[in-house]
Parts: sequence; structure tokens; C-alpha cells
Amino acid sequence: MILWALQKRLLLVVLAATATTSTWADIDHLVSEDTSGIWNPSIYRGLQLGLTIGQIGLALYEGGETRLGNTAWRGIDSELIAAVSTEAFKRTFRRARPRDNPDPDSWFTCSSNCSFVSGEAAESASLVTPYILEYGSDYPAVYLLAVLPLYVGVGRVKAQAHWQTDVIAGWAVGGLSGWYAHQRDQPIVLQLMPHGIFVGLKKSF
Amino acid sequence: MARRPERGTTRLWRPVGLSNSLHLIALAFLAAACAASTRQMTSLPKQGTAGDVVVLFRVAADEDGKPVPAILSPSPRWKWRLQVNVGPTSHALNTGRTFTAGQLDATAQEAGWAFLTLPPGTYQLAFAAYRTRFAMPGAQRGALGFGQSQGAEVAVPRDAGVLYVGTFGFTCQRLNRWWGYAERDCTRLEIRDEEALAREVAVASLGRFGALRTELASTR
Repeated sequence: MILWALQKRLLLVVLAATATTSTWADIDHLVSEDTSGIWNPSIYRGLQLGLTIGQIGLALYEGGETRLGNTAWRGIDSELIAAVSTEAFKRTFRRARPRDNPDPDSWFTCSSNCSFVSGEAAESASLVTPYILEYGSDYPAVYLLAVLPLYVGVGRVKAQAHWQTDVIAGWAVGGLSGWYAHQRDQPIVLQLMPHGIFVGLKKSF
Repeated sequence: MARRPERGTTRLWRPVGLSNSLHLIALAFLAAACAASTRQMTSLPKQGTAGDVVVLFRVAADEDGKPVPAILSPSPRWKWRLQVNVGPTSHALNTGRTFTAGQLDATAQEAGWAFLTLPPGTYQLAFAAYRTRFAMPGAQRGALGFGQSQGAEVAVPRDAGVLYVGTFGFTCQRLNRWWGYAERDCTRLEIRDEEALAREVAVASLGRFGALRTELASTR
């Protein structure tokens, strides 16, 4: 209870400080809506879904005893942590989406489907971060994976679904989720899996 | 007349908050103390400081009769690896207090060597691993297939700089069940004397702490 009270007070202080210095308004501005071509939300959502399904398939096939499989399990952890965190942020801050309210300071007004933080931006960042951290130093080309969250983030702003700060905070949440999942001793979901999944379907069958 | 509380929140805040705060402070102190003592055990002693002894050891394992890599290092994280647990001989070691042993160079790590820095005294040393069942007297089991071996007694003398306490050899069997958390069953712990190898490791990595002395650990 004391922790919850402290967290609530801290959030209010941070929010009050940023609101009074008009930080949000400095960064956030409405851009003209563009959902054509590659900015069509169903394209990047489809891409994210495909990568998530691919990651689950890779994790199940490889198991936790190879570098790639273990990283895929950490990627699953990372996505789950990011999903839970973004939902908590959305329910706490209840910021209205730009297309619903053109005022970027419209906090605590939305009742559902809120704006802060961007779930898609967080998910895309959480998806690629464990791979970048694991393989980046060995294969620098892996850093190109960072294009995915950039693309998704821009797409969300162009769709007038998020403010710029929603996307930046989403990248931060996704990146931190990925970092946490990567530095853990054991992947969380993998720990719960039985032997057959742990060793990988390629060894099980 | 009953006294009216000044503010609604004050009534809840004081009793619950004070008790929780004390618990949190106590937990924070405990966590900090544990972390500090673990850090001390896994770091080499500063040169010129007398008292602490570098306890050198190695782990080895065979699975279904064949030697398999057994490492005490934290990486690679996707390979089977062992952690250590150290404590007094008077009571059982808590499986929640396992940690990664002190690390030497990469070659020594791959061969299963590690160290602990301990003050003189008598300790028990146990090994623990995820998805491993230790079927031996005094072994313990944790959640999700985490297991801890029986403890071996280690006597750390006052006048030693580097002490080799043995090579801890585990005899294990691979469990090929689809369901369940344990991947291997380790049924035997044997303490072997590999003093010649230990001397090479000590000369290469721990030469500044003095000559190697051997006092093999014993299983209880």
C-alpha cells in the first residue's frame, strides 16, 4: 500500500513538472493523417504479428539450449513485459489519442483505447532489443533491426493514433523490457516450460 | 466523545505505513548485506590484505558415462552451468542463496575452474543448477527443477594464500522425458585430487596470492 501510494505521488509529481514546463507541447504536434502505402496500419501490424509468430516458432523449434533459441525465448519475455507495461501506462495516464482530441495535454480524459504509451512502438522495440543486445557486437548488421521500431513509430504518428511522446515512451518501454529480459539469468517463460519444450522440438522429435 | 481523525488518510497511513516501512528497511539492509558478502566471496582479495584465502576448485560431470561440459561461469547462458552455495556447517544451506562463483580467465572457466574468497574457518560448499535433480543425501530441490547438491565440508586454514579443495565430479544421467522440469539426474558426487592441474591454474591466474596449498574437501 505504501509503495502504491509512493508510486502514485511520484507519477503525479513527474506529470505536474512536465505539464507546467510544457515539455509535452514542445515535442507533440499533430501531423496530417497518412495511412496510405507502407503507412497503412495493417501492414506494420501484420509485420509485427508475423515476426512474433516467427519468434515463437523459432523458440519452440530451437529450445533454450542454443544461443538463437535462448534469445528467442528472451524476446518472448520482452514482448510480454512490454505488453503488460504499456497497458499499465495506458490505464494510469488515460491520454486521449490525437485523432480524438487535438490537445496533447489531454491526460486522464480517455476511458478506453488510450494513447500513452504506444503499444505498437513498445512491442516493436521489445521484439528487436534482445537480438540487438545478444548479437550486435558480433554481427553489427543486427543493428539494422532498429529500423522496425522507427518505422512502426512513424506509422503510428502518421495515423494520428499517437503523439510523438507516446512513441518515444513506447520505444523506451520496449527497449527497457528487452534489456531486462536479456540480462536475466533465465528466460521467464522458458523456465515454466517442460523438458520437451526446453530442449526444443528439433531434439524432442 | 470519540475523537475525529484529522484526515481520512492519516489513520490508514500511520499503522500500516510504519510497519511496512520497517519491513522494507529491514529487507533492504538484508539484501544489501547479502549482496556485499557475495561480492566479497567472488572477488579476489586486495593485495597486501591478510586474512582471506582464495579457495580454488573445479567441477566436472559425466552424463551416461560420457564427460560433458560443466561450467561455473555465467556465460554462455544457454548452456548447463552450476552455481555455488556456501555457509556454515551447522545448518542446511538455503537454496535461495546460490550465486555464481568467482571467475578466472576464459580457458579456466571453460575447464570448470572457479574460486571463492573466504576467511579462515569451516564451511560447507554445495553446487546448484536449474533443471537438475541431485539424488544424493542432503540434496535439496527448489521450484521449476532447480536442484542443489549435498554439501561438502571445506576447511580453510589461517596460513594459506591459495587453497585447492578438489575437483567436484558429478555422475549424472540424462532424463529423456517430454514432461517435467528436470533434464538430468545427478546421483553421485566424488571429490578428486587434481593438484597438478590446480597448480597450473594457480600459477597462471593466482600467483600473486602465494603458493598453492591442497586440503581436499570431504563429503559429509
